[in-house]
Amino acid sequence: MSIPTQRHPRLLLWLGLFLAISLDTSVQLCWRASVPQHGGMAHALGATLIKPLFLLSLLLHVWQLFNWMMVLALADLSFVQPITALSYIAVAVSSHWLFAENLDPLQFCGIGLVLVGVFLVSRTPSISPTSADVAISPCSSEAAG
Amino acid sequence: MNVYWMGLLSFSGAVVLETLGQVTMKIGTRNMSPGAGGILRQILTNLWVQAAIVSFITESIFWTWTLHLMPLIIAFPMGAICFATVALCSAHILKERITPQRWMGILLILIGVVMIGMKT
Repeated sequence: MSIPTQRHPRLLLWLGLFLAISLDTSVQLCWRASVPQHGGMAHALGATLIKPLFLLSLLLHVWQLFNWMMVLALADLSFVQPITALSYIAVAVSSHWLFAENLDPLQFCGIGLVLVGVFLVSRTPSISPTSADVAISPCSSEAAG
Repeated sequence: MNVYWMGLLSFSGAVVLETLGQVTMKIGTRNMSPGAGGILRQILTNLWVQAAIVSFITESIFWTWTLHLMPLIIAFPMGAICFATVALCSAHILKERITPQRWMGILLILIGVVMIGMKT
């Protein structure tokens, strides 16, 4: 990881979340474009494996894995996972542009609810205190002293 | 067993694997240094992380199968249930402190994602 962000875990966390959402959106769009709509499971897997878009999404998955592990090391699962719902908005908006899919009023309301929900989650503490944090907090050190 | 039940079974498998994968990955990244070297070391040595990776790979097979058995239009909004299952497991298994505000946010996100997935 780059040097300036090492001293700023909060910045690193948000950069990681931004990357997670971008990669998730790319993977979903690749997936959507590469999976055939009809046929049995064996046929589906065979047809999917040879598509270049599938290979691209596999590479993106590996990058996503590294990034997601970094994000999880920095914050609560219940903090970061809901925030990745922003990728649903990105997929809906990208599909509107790329595949000319309509965005109806119901979807606009859904986008609004997700934005409000992500805002609420983002305003909560990003990490629960662990037993190690409690042990080094001023209160417990006073008690120990 | 008809296509409907096969689809539902495959979908449930995907949800369980996603939840299991997220929880084991979170356990596996505790005390991990968030740099590329630390992450690679964790992938190669930590059983929780390896279990999570196996879960995610198996989940993608279940999810592909699900999408062949039921329309994306139904499967996609139903996938929002993972926000609830992961939050519940974060609270009860990982013992994370989820404030009422965070629960409210998660609920709005869940409803919002269902609405984004539903097309009239």
